[in-house]
Parts: sequence; structure tokens; C-alpha cells
Amino acid sequence: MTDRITRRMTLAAGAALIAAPAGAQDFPTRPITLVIPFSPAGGSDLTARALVKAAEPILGQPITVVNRPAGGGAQAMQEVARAAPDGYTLVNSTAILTAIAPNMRDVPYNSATDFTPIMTYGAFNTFIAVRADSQYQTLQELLDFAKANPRVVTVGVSVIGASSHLGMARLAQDRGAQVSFVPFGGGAPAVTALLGRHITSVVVSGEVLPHVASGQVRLLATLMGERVPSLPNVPSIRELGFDWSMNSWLGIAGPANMPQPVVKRLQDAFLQASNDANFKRVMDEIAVAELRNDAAGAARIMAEDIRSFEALIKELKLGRYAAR
Amino acid sequence: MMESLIGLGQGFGIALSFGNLLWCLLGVALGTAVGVLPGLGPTATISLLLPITFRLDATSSLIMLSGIYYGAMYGGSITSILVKIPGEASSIVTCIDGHEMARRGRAGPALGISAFGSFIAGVVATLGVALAGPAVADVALAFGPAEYTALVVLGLVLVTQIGEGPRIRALLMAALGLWGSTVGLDPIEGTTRFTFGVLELQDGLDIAVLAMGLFGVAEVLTLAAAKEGSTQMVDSPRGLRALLPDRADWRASSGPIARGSVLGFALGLLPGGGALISSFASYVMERRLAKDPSRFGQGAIEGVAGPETANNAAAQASFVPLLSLGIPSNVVMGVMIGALMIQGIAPGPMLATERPELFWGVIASMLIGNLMLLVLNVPLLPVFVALLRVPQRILAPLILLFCVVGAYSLQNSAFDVMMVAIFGVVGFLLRLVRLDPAPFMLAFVLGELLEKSIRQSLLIGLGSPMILVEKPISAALFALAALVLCWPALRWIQIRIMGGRRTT
Repeated sequence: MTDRITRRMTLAAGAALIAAPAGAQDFPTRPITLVIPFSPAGGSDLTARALVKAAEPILGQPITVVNRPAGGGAQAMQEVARAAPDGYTLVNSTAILTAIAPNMRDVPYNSATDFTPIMTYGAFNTFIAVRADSQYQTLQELLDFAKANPRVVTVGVSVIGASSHLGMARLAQDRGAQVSFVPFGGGAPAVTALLGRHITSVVVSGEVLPHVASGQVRLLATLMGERVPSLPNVPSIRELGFDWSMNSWLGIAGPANMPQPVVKRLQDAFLQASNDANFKRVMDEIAVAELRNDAAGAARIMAEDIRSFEALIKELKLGRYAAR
Repeated sequence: MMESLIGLGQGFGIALSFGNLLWCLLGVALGTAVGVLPGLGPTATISLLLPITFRLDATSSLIMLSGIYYGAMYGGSITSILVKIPGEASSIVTCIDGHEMARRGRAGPALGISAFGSFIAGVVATLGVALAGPAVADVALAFGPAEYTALVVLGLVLVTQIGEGPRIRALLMAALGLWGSTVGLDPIEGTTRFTFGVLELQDGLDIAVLAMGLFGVAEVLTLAAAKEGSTQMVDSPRGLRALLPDRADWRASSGPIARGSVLGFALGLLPGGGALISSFASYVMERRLAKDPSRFGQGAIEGVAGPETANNAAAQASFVPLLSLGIPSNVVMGVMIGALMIQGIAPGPMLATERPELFWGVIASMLIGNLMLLVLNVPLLPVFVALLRVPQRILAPLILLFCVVGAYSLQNSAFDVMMVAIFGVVGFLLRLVRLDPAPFMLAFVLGELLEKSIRQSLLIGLGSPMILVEKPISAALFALAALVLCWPALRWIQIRIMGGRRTT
């Protein structure tokens, strides 16, 4: 009995050994599906579509893009987690759904064990901004005022639990300041409220840039580790004396247990695609910074962020750790 | 003023080029089509077409995208009138009297007046955008959370004035609508509410799903339950001439169209719920002004002309904040900003001076597009009306089919199809007990805005509700809401005092 099982397993393992390299050499032999867990025309959608377009000729197969925003994107993540790990079903993975969402609410997937990271290509640029006529010239001045006058400074963000909110909350906490967060459901309405003098500041992404160009808004800092090449006057929070940065990254992942050669093939193809001129132009236009990592690098960032966001959200007593 | 006229002239030069005329036509035709199809709205369409526009020049792509947007406003009224399925939220009110007119064999005048009314509103509002645009754009900025709270409260007070029968029924449905809007993620804390562990419910209920269920599927179920022939509509006359609004229709509609244009333009300047509120504000206003308010709900043409004019004027006016300030009024506008940013253009105060050909070209194209919509829609009136002659045993399954396809297309999820079925049954039961789903739908849409803005106001005001009455605009809107609410009581007191005087 035991013998038979062992023999069968050995046979199966042997077959897999022979089959895997052969399959990977031909991979891909049919169209690939990329699931985007967000609505069309958002930052994640636009960049992923541009990347896919550049990757198609490299892989020699069409890539079908499907938007599945249901359940805040959690449904799409669950679907890919359960798909066959053959490389034909991929997901546009993000820090938001991988590292943040599982700490904010119950999700039907396990970020750490359900996915195979393939690569990352970018990170949302997130800025702290005030009106150009505001009294605050630097982030330090804003945080100093917020420390001396608890809760008076209002900060517009898209949603509570977004990396913009978490980043600003950590900045305030590091300096012992207290600010009031006002979620607007999106970056654009938050910027509108800033322009209309209804709030003191915003922490948002590319939505704010047109108003910076027109001279109505001043950027105090970016939450990323380095300055943005197109905005050389905006300091990163690292330069301002904080020993951390926040990269809300974007990448490609598949279900857990994908064959190594398939992962390598996809990683190489998508990394090569991320040099495409049109892809870079789209990234520039919507203010997504380049953040290129191979599969190993993506796995490292993912593991790090799952840990650090959990710690941060616990510390801030938000989402699942909120006092009830 | 002179500058605007010169600019507009320049804009016509651009919009009248062969290529741009074609894009404009494509946009408005697509817009009408998606407005007619339930579920498929302008947002989804524009998002799907976005990749195509990357290859177009910026002016042409914006001409086409905006054509889809205001074209959908025309299309939305067609299904409201013919089969009582609102194509979008701002056509919900049109269902009330528009469909009643169709049932009485007056589908032609109803469709005609909404096409002509929309055209007039489109022209008036576009001229408003051109002449007064930048000057009135700051209104959009003056409205913060406190002001929106007051506006939505006023809107809710108006909702309770809609629908026939006792007020208590409208109030009950509006209250249920407010409750329905709380399903999903809490807008502030992000925690789940009323989701019963169902993942898909975290997104909240979808307005298109509700509309297709409560109106479309419920209508089909009502037809199925009714006796053969008892629900047959009065046949409409054939031939274009007999279908157009007659002189009496025009006399009744001219006031509502004029008032609807102004009201729609003013409310359309406000990002958020402006267009929706303008449609039922117009309805309530016309009923108050009518000599015989009891005709409303029984197929009054004013109840179609006013709201349809107002929602189209509002759709045009919402381009003011977009073009003058770079502020998107709604999701559709947000996608359009995305389209412009991909082209390296940042909409904002500098747009008119930096890219005059884009600014004025788009405005001129709206005048042309509205004319195209009129020319497209009026000759098609007999075709639309002929739809009513399709036997119900064929029409009803078709409506179901479109609802299923439309629901699935929302986010490629079978869950939405199931929700349409559930709300179809709910809508059917509501009809049995003669509860009107319109106040439910309107309160549902306003509820989301209300909760968000009231809680934003409290966060900004450090927990004190005083912020709601300290701001002048918001205080004025609250006063207006109180006046509307107390009007019957004030009238009663007035009559009592007047009556009292007479006897002494």
C-alpha cells in the first residue's frame, strides 16, 4: 500500500520533471489573461495596459486584459489565487491589495502564500501639498503647527487606509503631531476642496500636478525615497529626516507554485517591456515613478511591505485593529 | 464678451473640420446608444474607448468623449419614456410622467419635447459656458462639505415632494433609500456595513443594478402577472407629423424649458450631485407652479420637459469646472481628465489661453453636437414609438435580456445579474403595495453624498455641527429647505389669518 503510493508519487514527480522544462520552453502557447482588480482608466489600469501592449510582441501571444473591480478588487485577487499556476492567469498586483487591504478588512486570500510575484514596474508618486498662498512653506512648518494645535490641520486623502493616509499618519506620529484626516473618495475631489479653502492640505498622487503647474498649489514633499526627476524642487521625506519612505508599488504576479522557468520567462518579458517608450510616456504623464524589480526583488518588497504595513496599521489602531 | 465671440468663431473653424465633425457625430451617436442600453453608461463607454483616443489629437478626442457624455443624456430619456427604465440617475424623474404619457398614446410628444428641450438647454448652457464660464467657475470651489450637506438636505426635502399619493409613502421609500446607501464600506473608516460577509456587497449597491431591477425587471414581472390585454398601451399615431408635440404641448412646455435651462445650468456648475438634483428640483418646481398639480403623475408634459431640459443643461454646465478649473464634476469627467493628461494637457485655468483651439473647439463642437442629436433623434421618433407596438411577449424577454447583459457588463460579475433579479422581485412586490421606487432611488443616490459630506464637515469642524450653519451658503440652503418643508403649514396659517380677517 505505502509502496504503491510512493511509487506512484515518484512516477508523477518524474513526469513533472520531464514535462516542466518542455512546457516552459514553449511557454506561452496560448493567450494570457491579466486581471486588473481596479476600474478602467485608473492609474493601475492605464500603466498595466501600456505594459501589456509592450509585452505582447515579446511573448508572442496576445494578453487579454480584464477589469474586475468587484469587492474593492478582493474578488479578482481571490480568483487569481485559485487559478491554475501555469502562467496563463496573472494579476496586476499592488501594495494596496497585497499589503494594506488584508489589514483593513477581511479578504478571501492570503497575500503571503497565495501568489508568485513576477516583477514590479512602478510606484504611485504621493505628494503632500498645500495651497500656494498657504502660510506653510515646508513640511516641518506644517507638522510643527499641527503639534502645537492638535487636530486643527485638516488633511484631504482619497480613502482611510490608502498609502497616502498611512504615510501622513506615520509622519504626524513620528513628530508627535495630530492632524484630522478627511477622506474624499478620490484624489481629485480632495484637491478641489483644497483649492476651495475647505481643508488645509492634501496627500494625493498625480491629480494635483496640473494645479502645481498653474501655480495654485505648492508641494511640500513626496512620500517616496527619492526626488522625482520631473519635480527636482520637491524633497523626499528621507531628506527631511525621516528614516523610511513609502512606495505604493505596482507589479505583476500569478498564483502560488508557478514553475520557475515560466516565472523567469514572464519576468524577463515584462522587464524588457518596461523599457518601451510608450509605456514610459504613460507612466510619466500620470506621475507613476519607475520601480523595476525582478521576481526575487518583487518577492522581497512584498514580504517587507506585508510586515511593515501590518505593524503600521496595528500601531495606528486602524482597520481590523481599530478599538471597538 | 467680445473675446468670447472671437474665441467661439475660432472654435467653429476647428469643430467644423471634416474630421472633427465625424468624431462629434460618432460621439453623440454612441452616447445615444449607450444612454438607451440599460447598464452600459457613459463612464464605462468612455473608459473602454480611452485607448483609442491616445492616437487621436487632443481636441478631436475630447470632442468625441464629450459627445458621448451629453449624447447619453438624450438617450437616457428614451428608455425612461418607452419602457420605464431610467438610463441613468438623472432620468428617474422622467419615468414618472414620461412613461405615463407613453401609456396614453403620447410617446411621440414626450420623446419630442425631451429632444427639443434638451436641444434648447444644450444651446443655452453651452452659450453660458462660452460667455460666463470662467466667471462663474469659482462657484464650484465655494462648495465644500458643509455646503454640499445643505444642498443634499434640500434635495432630500424635494424628493419627498415627488410621487403621487400620501406623503408618508414617499417618506418611507426615501428613508429606505437612505438606508440602502449605507450598504458597503463605511466612507470614512472603511469598515464593512450590512454586507453579511458577501464580498461583492463591499462595493455597495449599484445605481444601475437598482434601476434595472426596481424598474426594468419589475415592469416585466408586472406585465407577466397581469391579465392578457389589460396592460396594453394606447396605440400611438403613426407618421412623424402626428408624433411631434403640438401647439398646446409647446405652450405648456415653454415655461418649464426656460426655467429648466437656467436651473440646470446653475446646479450643473457644482461638482457632485448637481445634475441629478436639478432634474427633480425642476419637477417639483413645475408641479408647484402648475395651475392643476393633480395632472402630475398622470402624464403631464411639463413633468417631462422641465427635468429633461434641466439635466441636459447641467451636463453642459459641468464642463465649466472641467475646462476652467481642471476640476472633474463626476466620474465621467475624471476619465476625460485622464484622457487629456495622457496627451500631456492639464485642464485648468490656463487652458483657454494656452490651448485656445482645444477650449473653444470643444465648446463649439457642443453646439454642433446638440444640433446633430436633434437631427438624429427627431426623424427616429416613429421608429422609437414603433417599439411600443412590439408585442409584449417579445418585448418583455428582450428587456430582461438587455438587463442581464447590462448588469454583467458593469464589472464582469455574475453577482450583479443576481442582484438585478432580486431587486426585480422587490420592485414587483413594491408595486403590489403601491409604493413608488422613484423616491427610493433618488434618496439612495443622495444618501451617499449626504453621509460623506456630513461626516467630512464634522471632521473639518472638529466634531462640531456648527460648521453647517456658520457658512453663509450652507445656512441659506438650509433655510430654503426649511421653507419648502414648512410651506404647506405657512399656507395654512396664511389662509387661517386671511379667513379670520374676513369674518371680522
